[in-house]
Amino acid sequence: MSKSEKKIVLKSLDNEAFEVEKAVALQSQTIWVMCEDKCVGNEIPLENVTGQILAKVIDYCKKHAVVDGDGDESSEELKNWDTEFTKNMDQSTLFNMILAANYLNIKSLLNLTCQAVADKTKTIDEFHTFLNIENNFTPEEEAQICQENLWAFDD
Amino acid sequence: MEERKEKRLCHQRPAREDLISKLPDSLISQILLYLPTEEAVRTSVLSNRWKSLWLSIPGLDLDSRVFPNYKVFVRIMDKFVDLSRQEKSYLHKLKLSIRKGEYDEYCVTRWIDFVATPKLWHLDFECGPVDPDCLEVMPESLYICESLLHLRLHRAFLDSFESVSLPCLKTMRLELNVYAKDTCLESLISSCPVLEDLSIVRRVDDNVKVLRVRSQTLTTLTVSFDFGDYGSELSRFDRGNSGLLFDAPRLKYLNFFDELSKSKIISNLSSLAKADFAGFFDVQYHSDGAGLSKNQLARNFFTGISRVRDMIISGDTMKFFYSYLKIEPLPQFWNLSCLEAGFCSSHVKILPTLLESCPNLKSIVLDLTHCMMLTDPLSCSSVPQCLLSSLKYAEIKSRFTGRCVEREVASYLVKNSVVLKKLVVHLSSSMQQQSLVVLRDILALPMPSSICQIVYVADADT
Repeated sequence: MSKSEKKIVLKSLDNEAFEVEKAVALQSQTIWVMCEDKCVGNEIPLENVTGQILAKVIDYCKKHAVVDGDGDESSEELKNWDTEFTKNMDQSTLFNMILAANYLNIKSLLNLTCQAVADKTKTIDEFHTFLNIENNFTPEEEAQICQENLWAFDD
Repeated sequence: MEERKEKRLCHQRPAREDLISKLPDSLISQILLYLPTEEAVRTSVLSNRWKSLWLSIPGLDLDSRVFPNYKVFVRIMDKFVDLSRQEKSYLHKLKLSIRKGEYDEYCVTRWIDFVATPKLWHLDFECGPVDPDCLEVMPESLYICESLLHLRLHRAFLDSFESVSLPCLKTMRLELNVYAKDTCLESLISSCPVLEDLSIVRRVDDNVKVLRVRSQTLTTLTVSFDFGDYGSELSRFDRGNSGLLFDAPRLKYLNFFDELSKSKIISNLSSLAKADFAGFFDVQYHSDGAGLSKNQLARNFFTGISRVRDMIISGDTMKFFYSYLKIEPLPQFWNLSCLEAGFCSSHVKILPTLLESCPNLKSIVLDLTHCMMLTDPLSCSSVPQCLLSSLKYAEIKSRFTGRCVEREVASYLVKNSVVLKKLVVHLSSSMQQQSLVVLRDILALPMPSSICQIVYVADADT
């Protein structure tokens, strides 16, 4: 395989181009299908992902392409890396990462980012504050729902 | 200026936006999957859209103890199952923990039968203590659940099954289950083509005489017995007919805990990296091994594990090593580089013999916390090879400071080692006076020139 065939160019929504190893990009099932279909050249346009998010996705894929399949130490190391990776992401980045992981179909990244949101919202109050969901129930309605699912609200 | 400031503030605002509600339902339920089920159900009060979102979560983690009683738990589970059936939604993950009484309904079989679809990848079922006759039976559909990656069954009954097809199963934990017969367990294990991690906690009445583990892919195996509180079940254990047989060429980590079955036949453990013998352990003559004496069986066992690199031997297991070593030496453990060994008083004297079998040992940790005193001094007729050429690290743990065991052992190691670099001595902090005397004695020993560090650790008594 020549060097150019090993590389692939990913183009973000805002026209930022990233040249990456094919093995790194192919962790995305979406890109994998695109390459299989040969419907694209060496440059793949990704219309749903911004350059800022794509850069992070590529970081993740690079890390996971190198270490996968090695011994126990590296899988431990990988776990720590994953934790660090999502630890300081703000909410909007995290949600955009979820959308990107879903669109690009990278299952492990989707699991990781969903887990990260769940970890940051362990209680219902945190759901309201961290996620800013507006409560559009009347107090009566809320009481009725609580009643229906009473078992979950008992402390 | 004012305007620019305003703009910047607006720019910071998006953090307050309700971003999660912009996600499609399928992604929200993915996030809810990572919350404890109760928390996920509580999201129903968030807003209209969230009212029934929790019902589409692909995973469920329920403990019957959080419900007012078992009947309520059954009603909620049935409701969930009915809704899933209507919605044609499938669970990826189910974790059920139940505590039930004698007269409570048997429902687990049908629930698991319902969720054991080609979408399920994680099943964890646990039942509290019940009479063995009241165990919940696992449905046949579980054994052909083709997507299953992780399976844990704790106190279940595994009946005979027609066929097994678990092509994705990587981890299996089988704890305190009862099997219809021992071939059930055997074929369950050998029919998992990608199984990597297997852990079995046995009970004395599990209907398994000989535990046979045959796997081409297994890397971690843990086998233990639960003999009840204070070994109360031990008297019911039919030891005479019990045994185990391992054939797992990729096995790297082998852990035993109170493995007391009589015969142990090991073939093909050429990849073994670490063996941990916790609790009691023994190998005895077995009627199947016609003509083989106890020591021959034990020798075969030791030869089977002799490629190991890392080994932990509990004080109780050392009894078994001791009775073997009294008759003949161990086979050579050429690869063994780290050894952690516990001793009780009368067994310390086999230390030199044990070391003879570990010619390339680099590190040793000796746990003498159960040694009251030394009955015989350590003999030094010939110095084991590892002390002459490879042992660089030694650690001694002791509690009954001042009864000369730790002094004797430290003195043996220091006098005979040629390449030892570091010696760590743990002594009891409550016996400060004696500890200092022991320490002074150790420091007064003629040290090998290689030594560069001696560490004294004062352990609090537990």
